[in-house]
Amino acid sequence: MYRVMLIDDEQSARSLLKASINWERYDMEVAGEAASGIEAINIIDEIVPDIAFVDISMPFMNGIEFTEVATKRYPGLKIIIMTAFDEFEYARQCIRLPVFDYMLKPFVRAEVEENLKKLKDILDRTVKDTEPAVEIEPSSIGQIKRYIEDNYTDSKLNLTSVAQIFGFSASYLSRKFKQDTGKNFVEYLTECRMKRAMELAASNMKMFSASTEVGIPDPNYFGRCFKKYTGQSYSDYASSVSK
Amino acid sequence: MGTGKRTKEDKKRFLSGTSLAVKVWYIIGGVFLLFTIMFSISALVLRERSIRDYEIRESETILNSMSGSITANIENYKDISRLVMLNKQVTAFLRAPAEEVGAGLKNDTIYGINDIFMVSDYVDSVFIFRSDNHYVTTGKGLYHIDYDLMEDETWHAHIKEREGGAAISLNGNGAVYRANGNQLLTIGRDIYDIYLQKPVGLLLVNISTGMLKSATESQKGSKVCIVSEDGTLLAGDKSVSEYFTSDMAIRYTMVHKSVRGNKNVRMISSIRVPDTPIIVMCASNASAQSIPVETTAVMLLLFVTFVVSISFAAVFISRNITHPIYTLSAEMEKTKEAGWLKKIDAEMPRNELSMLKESYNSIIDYLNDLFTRLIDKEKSVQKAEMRVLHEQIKPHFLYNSLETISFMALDAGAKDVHSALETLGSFYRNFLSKGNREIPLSREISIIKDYLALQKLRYGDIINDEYDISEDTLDIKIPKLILQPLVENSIYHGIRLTGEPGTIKITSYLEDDDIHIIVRDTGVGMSQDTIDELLGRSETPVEDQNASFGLKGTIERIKYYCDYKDVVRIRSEIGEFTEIELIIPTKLKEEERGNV
Repeated sequence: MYRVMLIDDEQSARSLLKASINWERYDMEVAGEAASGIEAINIIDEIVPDIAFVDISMPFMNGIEFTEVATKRYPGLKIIIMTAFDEFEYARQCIRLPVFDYMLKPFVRAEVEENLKKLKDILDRTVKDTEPAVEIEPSSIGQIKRYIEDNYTDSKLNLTSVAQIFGFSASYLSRKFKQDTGKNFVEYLTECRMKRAMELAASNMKMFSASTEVGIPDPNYFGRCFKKYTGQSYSDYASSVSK
Repeated sequence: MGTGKRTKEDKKRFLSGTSLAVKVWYIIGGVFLLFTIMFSISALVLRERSIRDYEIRESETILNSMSGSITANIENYKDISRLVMLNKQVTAFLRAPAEEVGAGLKNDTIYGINDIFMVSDYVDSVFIFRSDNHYVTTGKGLYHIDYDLMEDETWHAHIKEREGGAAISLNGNGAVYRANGNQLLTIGRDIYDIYLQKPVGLLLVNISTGMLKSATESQKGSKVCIVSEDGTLLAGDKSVSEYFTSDMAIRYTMVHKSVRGNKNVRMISSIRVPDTPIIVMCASNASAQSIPVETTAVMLLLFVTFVVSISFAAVFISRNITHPIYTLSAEMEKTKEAGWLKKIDAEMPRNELSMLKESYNSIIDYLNDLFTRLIDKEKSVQKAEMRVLHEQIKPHFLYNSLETISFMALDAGAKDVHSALETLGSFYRNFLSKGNREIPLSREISIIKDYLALQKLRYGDIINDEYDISEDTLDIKIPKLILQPLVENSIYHGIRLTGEPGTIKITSYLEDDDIHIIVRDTGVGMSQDTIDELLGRSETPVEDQNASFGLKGTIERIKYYCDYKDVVRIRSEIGEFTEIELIIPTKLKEEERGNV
């Protein structure tokens, strides 16, 4: 099963694409969705997609910026840019990136399926790289934790970027990190950000400012993360703390 | 009245209608003619004047010479006549008492006189009168002497007033005549007694006209004559004496008179010899021998100079004004032929004409600039309108809504609704899209397929569509949305009107680098009038304007795209079919392509 990730700020667009295509026919499944480039960066290491459908026009981090980051970190990832016609020329001019294809919105099933067929053929022929067996010292995990604590305000920071900086494979680092700390990488990163966010909430900072401050400039995603972490919405938390 | 007015107007029209070049030549011709006449007249006048001056000079020379020689002769005779008074015999004759005067004494006296005058030519006779009218004479032949006249004091007065000096008269002032009629010039003087100092006698020396004749003969080749106070010819050419008028005798100054109507005589000049009753006359005709060469040469030189300079002026005007104006005009005409505002390239002389050219060019520049700005303005207005239209449609809103509704339909299990919405979305994303004005034929076909799929939803099975698209035409670029209006026309003005199912067939193929696209429907067909109107061949608009508006607009757009070549053909049979064929060259150069 090849893993597909849908990145589009329109919920209905993601739902429609997910529902209207018979993914299984191409040995694929929709493994995850993201409503912005920021969210995609944050969760992509958990989803580990083979294919990403990326909408061009998204708030906070648009499809082009995301593609720039993603093609560097995930060389094997097949990206399909989804664009309305009036952005098509713009998209083509801006991206000199090795994306797999451009598709016009609103999509037509026949076109999508044609692309999926081609993708499956290519993926079937690709042999997955065996991970390099680099031992990670326990001290390295400590360094990594410190690195996260120092750099969590960078909105593009994620497992893969850190793994690349320290010279490990992402999946190995993920496993080792969980093993050593009892938490997985994303949880730890989010925890760092949320702790800071709680402080900011206590100081009555507005949510959209706080979200940028802690490295999640998409306030919608930030809000969800905050609620998931604290069990309370940002505004509720802020008002409860200040009382 | 009418005719007079008309000729005036004709003249006016002639003058205003004639070109500058012709006018210049007319003026130059006129000036040339005028100056030729003026030159001729002044040449004649000058010639006349110079001939007259010459004649006057000649005449003066002749007359002065004759008058001088006559005066000299007379003076000579006067001097000799004085000797008479000192002659012994004469004195004796005059002093002798009346009773002693006899033949002897007279003969002695005649001898004495003869001695004195022996050396002188032309002395006809000498008379010496005593106070008592006794006289002696050397004259031979018969003389009439008018004693009564001589007694008269008034006769004697002309001598007496000289007081012993000599008085010149003709024929003894009328008192002495030769019987043979020969005229005599008389020198008369009183003879005074040396001791008594009172007049004792009268001396008359008669000189024959031979003396005058010799004076006239000395002027060889000239027509001269000598006349008396009353015009009697004394010597010389009689024909000249005929021109005598009394005013010539009044003064001693020279008189010149022009003569008309005589080929041989042009002028008569005269002068009265001083202290004499004789007048010298001279006729001149210098025309034959004395044309003033220098004057004529100068005149001719002036004339030639004038002709040369006027010719130069004509050529100058022609070369520097008329010719450049023609060039200028021809260049301006080119603008009309070219269909756009062309500047003048032709070389103009560096003067007012080049200024004119510069002004014209700057106007052309200004106009071209103006037109460009107007066109740009028009384009930007159109662009703005298009943008407003696009804004109003809001494709993103449309697409997002379509997606949302699609998912709702899918979620509710309405698969056909999802399909319809998908088709609608696909149609609009192609139909509304910006981007290239040209799209591959395959995309235009997919627009039509979507369009027809949606129309079938509306009208059910009445429309069948068939496609016969040649593989090699799929990627050929054609102007966007040229087939959809044809298909739309086929439905609304073809098949729908029959009330029966119909077929729309789209065929394409390549032939000689042209792509042929045929849209055929089995509708009601079109009349030839409608076809002519659609192809812009007829002036009269068809009744149903709206029916053909979209189609006609599309046809014009295609024609414009293909640079107005014959690109659209329509075949039809009423009640059977309509077939619209587009023939678009695939090798159009970029600049040939209109802005569709």
